[in-house]
Amino acid sequence: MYLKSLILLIATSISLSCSSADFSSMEEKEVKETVRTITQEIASLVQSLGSEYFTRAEKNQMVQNALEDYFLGQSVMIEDDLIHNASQVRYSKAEDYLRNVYLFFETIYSFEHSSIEISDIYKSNGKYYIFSSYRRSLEGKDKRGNHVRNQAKRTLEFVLRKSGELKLEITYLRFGDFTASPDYRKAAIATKEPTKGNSPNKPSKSPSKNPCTEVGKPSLNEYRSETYCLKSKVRIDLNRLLSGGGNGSWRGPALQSNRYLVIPHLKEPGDYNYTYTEPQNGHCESQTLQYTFVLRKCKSADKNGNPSTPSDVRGSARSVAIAQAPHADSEQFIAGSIGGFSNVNLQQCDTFTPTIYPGAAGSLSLGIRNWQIGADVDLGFNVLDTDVDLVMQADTSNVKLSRTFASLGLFIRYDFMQNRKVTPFVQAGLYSIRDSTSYQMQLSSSKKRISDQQYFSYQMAAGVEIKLGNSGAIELRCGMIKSLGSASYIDHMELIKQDLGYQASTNTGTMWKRLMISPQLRFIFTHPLNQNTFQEALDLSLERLQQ
Amino acid sequence: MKLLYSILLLAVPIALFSQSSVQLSEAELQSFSARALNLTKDLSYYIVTIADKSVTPTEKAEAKKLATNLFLSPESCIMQVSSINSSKIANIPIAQYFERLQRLRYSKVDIEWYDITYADSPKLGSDGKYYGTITVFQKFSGFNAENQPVYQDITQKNFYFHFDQVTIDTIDGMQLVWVIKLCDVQVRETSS
Repeated sequence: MYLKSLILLIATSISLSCSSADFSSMEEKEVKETVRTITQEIASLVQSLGSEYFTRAEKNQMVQNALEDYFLGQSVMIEDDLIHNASQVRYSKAEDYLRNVYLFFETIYSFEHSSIEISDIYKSNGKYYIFSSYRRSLEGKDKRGNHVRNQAKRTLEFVLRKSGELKLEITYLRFGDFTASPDYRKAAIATKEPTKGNSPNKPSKSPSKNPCTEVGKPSLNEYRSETYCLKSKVRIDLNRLLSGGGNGSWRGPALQSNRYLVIPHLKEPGDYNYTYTEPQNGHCESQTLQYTFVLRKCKSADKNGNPSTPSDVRGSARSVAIAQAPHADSEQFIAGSIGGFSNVNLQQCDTFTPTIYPGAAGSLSLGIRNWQIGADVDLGFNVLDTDVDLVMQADTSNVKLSRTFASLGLFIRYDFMQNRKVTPFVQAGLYSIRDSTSYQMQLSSSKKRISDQQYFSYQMAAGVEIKLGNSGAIELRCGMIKSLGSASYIDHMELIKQDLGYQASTNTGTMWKRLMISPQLRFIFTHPLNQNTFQEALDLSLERLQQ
Repeated sequence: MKLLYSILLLAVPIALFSQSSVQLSEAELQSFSARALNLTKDLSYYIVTIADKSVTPTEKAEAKKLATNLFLSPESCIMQVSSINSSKIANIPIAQYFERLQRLRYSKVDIEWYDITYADSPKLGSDGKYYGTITVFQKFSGFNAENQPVYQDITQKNFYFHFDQVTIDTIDGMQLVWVIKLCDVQVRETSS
């Protein structure tokens, strides 16, 4: 029954421990909100009844449903305002009044309730009442073809029943402003307001001014400061939270139904508050819970779209690339590489998750390798582009997240047995990496920068280089890289630079360590400078100097 | 008739300017379609909420508001409504459609979409907006107070979308973004 929709499911056990108050402030707020909604719904109903888009049968059904939904019964009386320029007030039963809308009017163009004012809750003879005063504007065409346009001040009277649950029903609709009868007394409202001014994470510990005592308050810590990934539709399961019979409200657009809080569209990342009232166990205070929504792609949402809880990140990455590098025998070389890499399979999302998305990389190396010692200078650049599910306003928008890394690396390598098919080596070096991240709403032309940071790392590795003919080599390395600082993205660069490889990573907080096992396929694309030529040039230069 | 005019008005710019050079990339056009599909799903969610008699008036009002916001103009955009019990197709303005949904017949409805296809990629119109269509099959089930299904149909529907650029305030200042709005919803075929 639709009437049930008028029922406010507010637990009344609060009254046991708050016997001096008729309603909590939260209850009062919800009652007033519902009265306002019903006042607007009545206007929508009358407009629908005067609409040309519905049949007579449909309108009859709307009347029956409305009587069931909003009115105390069919005997509720209404001061009829549908008769234009009536010389005296005519009283109609609710059903007749509603039917008169389409009996008297050909069309109602607009029927609006504005300037709605909701009264306090009053008590009289053990019953509770509340009133809604508003300005009614009507514009339409009556059955005689006359254009009707008028306004009137109207007041809706509701009875508020409180027997196990709160139920609002219209008892009277009349002209004029609300005036309380002499026998009406304002209902007592618990004055304790929801915690304000405190950190959302720390509910107020100040003693309650109402007679309630905080006994058996459930631990809410587990619900606080949860971090969710922004998605097109966020659903928060409130079952556990509300299992004690509490209720709450969400600040912002959301629908709370069946103990699920569904937020169809979040405007932007940030902290959102859910005000929760736990009325049992003598506890009358409201708690404010904070939910933080961050700009992340959530990899681990379940099939129902429930967000994941952030935790340590463990994952693995694969990259595939074509590497172009000098021959192992080169003594001086210029080399370049291009690469691509696939998506990483991370299990969780977190603000600092080193999420790796598909992208491309390129590098240019300058090096010298004489005898068994070589030095490489690497200039690297790579671009990661991905789409992030994010809602930036009241419309779903994907966001393209772009991350660029520019690196400058200096490495010293020592080969143990040069000019052999298999050359063992050790390598150590330093990286300086510029990490720049920006986002662009996918259908927007402008790009916004999120971060622009400089990182340093050092690296040590050992491996073997296996030659493949005269122009190719496979390199197997095992090593460790550590970032100097709080950033963890430094491994991305290494991941890309190792080109064809498999790498396993574990998050050890702000420092990163990694075991690198990276087979690398090489082939020469630029012939190295011939050593003889180099020597000749050097000799020539010396000669000129001597001259 | 009004719907036909609306469709014609929509179709004319599409036809006239389908030869125009498309200024968006293929990926962006695909993103348009994906977002349009999301809107369709959101609409479905709101419809179910509006028609659910166990939902409070305040929540219904919120759902109606959110649903209405999905449309370009709740007064001029049309929702076609059909029934297996009648060959007549009613053209109802969006705002009235939600009222009707809320006030008539069912205690609960279920809506299921399937066979979603993009009738065509969004096309650039002369007004700088893009226009697109999604075709879906909608399975509608209405339940009475005893939770018994009292009506079911399967309707093939066309959803017409408008894509427009607006400036919005984001976490990082003002940005120019594309906003997608639904407009007319056309019934193509209804079966049981």
